[in-house]
Amino acid sequence: MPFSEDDLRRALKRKDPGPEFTRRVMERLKERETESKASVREKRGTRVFWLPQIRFAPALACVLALVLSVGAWIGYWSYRQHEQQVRIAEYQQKQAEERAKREAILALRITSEKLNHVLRKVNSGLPPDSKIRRERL
Amino acid sequence: MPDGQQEDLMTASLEQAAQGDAAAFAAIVSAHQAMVFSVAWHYLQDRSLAEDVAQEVFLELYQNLTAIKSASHLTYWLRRVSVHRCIDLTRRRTHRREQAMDGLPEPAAQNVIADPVLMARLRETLDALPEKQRMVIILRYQEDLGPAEIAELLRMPVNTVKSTLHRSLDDLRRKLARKLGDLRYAIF
Repeated sequence: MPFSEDDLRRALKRKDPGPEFTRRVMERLKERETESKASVREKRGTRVFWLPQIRFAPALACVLALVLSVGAWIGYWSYRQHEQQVRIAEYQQKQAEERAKREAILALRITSEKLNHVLRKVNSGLPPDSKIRRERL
Repeated sequence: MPDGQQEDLMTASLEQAAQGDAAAFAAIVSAHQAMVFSVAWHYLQDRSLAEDVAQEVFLELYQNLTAIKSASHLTYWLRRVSVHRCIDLTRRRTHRREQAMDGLPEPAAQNVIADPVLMARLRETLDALPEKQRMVIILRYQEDLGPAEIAELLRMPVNTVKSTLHRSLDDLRRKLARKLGDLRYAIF
């Protein structure tokens, strides 16, 4: 049995799914919207629990910046204190060295005076030819 | 109602629906449900699957309402999405035929005055065709689209559409003749 193109058109004529179809689509749409709202609420709730929300971000950044600057200032201050202590210790050591040097020179000078005195005494009791020359000492 | 006026009404409904008007969206569904459902029904030959696909297409439309610019764009969009959802579905699942859903009315065909045996055999034979051939026939004879429009929807070259159409009709004639021959033997 042959068929024509019109037979095919008739066989494939549009069929209406019925008047209830639109209602079913609208119901599914409502269900989906309710589900998506619920999931958004759920996500928001979870975020409050363990992640900072966007509106807390600036405050968090300020606190972080404050902590970092206080930390940096404390670090710099400690470094300056340490430097100062090292400089004072060096200065004190230098002073002690200078004092020791001065005392050593004074001690040598006193010793020299004493020896000269002894030499004079010895030279005054001897004949003129047998004088001990100071330079030789 | 003239076509131009109907297009204007549909464009207005689109704008209202995009602004969240549920009644306008319901009007859009009501106006296009036969087209979307029929593409799925003729392709899948399964009422419950066809209804699922049609509902999914309209839900997808709701999410993309702002992207639809006019009534003709809407028709094109619905046709394209329906076609691709049907093809995706048949590729995803092993093709299982199910009976009509209980409690749901059978789809109402409009003014069919034809040989009911021939119509039934034609639909059965069409269902035995490969995917692409079946969709080309549905778009040509249900939606009355030309080869260029079918090529655009299925993303195929126009010449391929023409040759597919020709081959599909030959296959249909051959298979139908065999089927009716078997039927004649069964009756007599």
